[in-house]
Amino acid sequence: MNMSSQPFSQFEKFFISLIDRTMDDYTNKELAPLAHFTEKDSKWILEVDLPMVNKDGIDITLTDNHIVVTAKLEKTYCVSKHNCMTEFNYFKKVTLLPTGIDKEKISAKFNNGILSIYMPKIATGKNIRIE
Amino acid sequence: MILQTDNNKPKKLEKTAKLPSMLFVGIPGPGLIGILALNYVIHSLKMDIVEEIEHSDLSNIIFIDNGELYGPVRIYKKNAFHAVISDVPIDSVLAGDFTESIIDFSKKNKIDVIVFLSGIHTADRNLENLKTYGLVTDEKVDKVLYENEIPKFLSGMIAGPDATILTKLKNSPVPTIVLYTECNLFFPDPEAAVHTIKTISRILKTDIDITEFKKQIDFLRLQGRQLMEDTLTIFNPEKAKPAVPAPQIYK
Repeated sequence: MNMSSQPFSQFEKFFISLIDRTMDDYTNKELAPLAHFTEKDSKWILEVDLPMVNKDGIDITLTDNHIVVTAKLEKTYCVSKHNCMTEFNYFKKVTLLPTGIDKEKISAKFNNGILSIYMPKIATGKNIRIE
Repeated sequence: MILQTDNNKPKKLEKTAKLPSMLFVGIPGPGLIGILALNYVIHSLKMDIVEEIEHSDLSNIIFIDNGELYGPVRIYKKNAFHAVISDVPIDSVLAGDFTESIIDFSKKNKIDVIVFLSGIHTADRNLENLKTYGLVTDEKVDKVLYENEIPKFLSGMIAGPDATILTKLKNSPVPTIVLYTECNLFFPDPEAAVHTIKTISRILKTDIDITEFKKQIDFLRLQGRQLMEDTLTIFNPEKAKPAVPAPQIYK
């Protein structure tokens, strides 16, 4: 089938699959970052992808059962959907904490726009004797 | 915002031996490498849409631009180079039919080499020194790797839709090169896609200016979130793990 050339020639359209298909919270104007949990031998690692964010703009809060990451964008991110423009200034991610972690020893690192939160597993407990 | 694209004009390098006709394939996969890189190459080389690949299971999405309808899997052309791009993830079931369509198209259009673009998860990868590895299905195209200084993918395991696609391509009469760039499996990785673009640029002997792409890295990471999530849903590395351990001979 022959079609007209260059239908998506503008740079902003070159990635047409990414248009208007976001999972963000339009009511609270918060972007939902991608996140991934990995279980290692002695810890859990939560990685959160935070492009367009500075280390100083990240806030991590621990509640009884959740870890909340809020991050301020360096620039306002505008999304036009159904002729309505929405401005986003923050990322927000609320994640359920894994069980059996040592909350006092949770640490975090931010590198190349990826926030890594390390949650060590509780290593103390009842000794089991080998018979 | 409409960005100036004049800087993206490809500059021809010195003419060397005639290049084989090539078909580049980019679909959503690890780090969205294939689709990020190939979309930019299509944009930079100003390739024209020549055909679409249609499938009943792909028909639940359509793109509209200037009042024209476009399917999610399109074929572009510029001189002897073709590019197949899919804007939707291809699952393992669809992967077979998708690859057969590509092989049929290649035979009809006398394509000498298929180049499949993908990413390979590398934990703690060094952004300063990312690598693109090559895999060939026919030793006739080994020289493309050698001439372009692409190290060979020597050992490892590939699972999910990529494995289905590679199995079909391995058994096809059209030689295939697979380019795997080290990337983050779980997040869109345009920085890794830069390396794939550079490799395509070397293979095509055409200077593709990546300045505009580099400026948009954060934007692409933001925009790619939903597609990445959709891709991981069908890619599901946990399910893709083999049910039985690999025989000792392959370890």
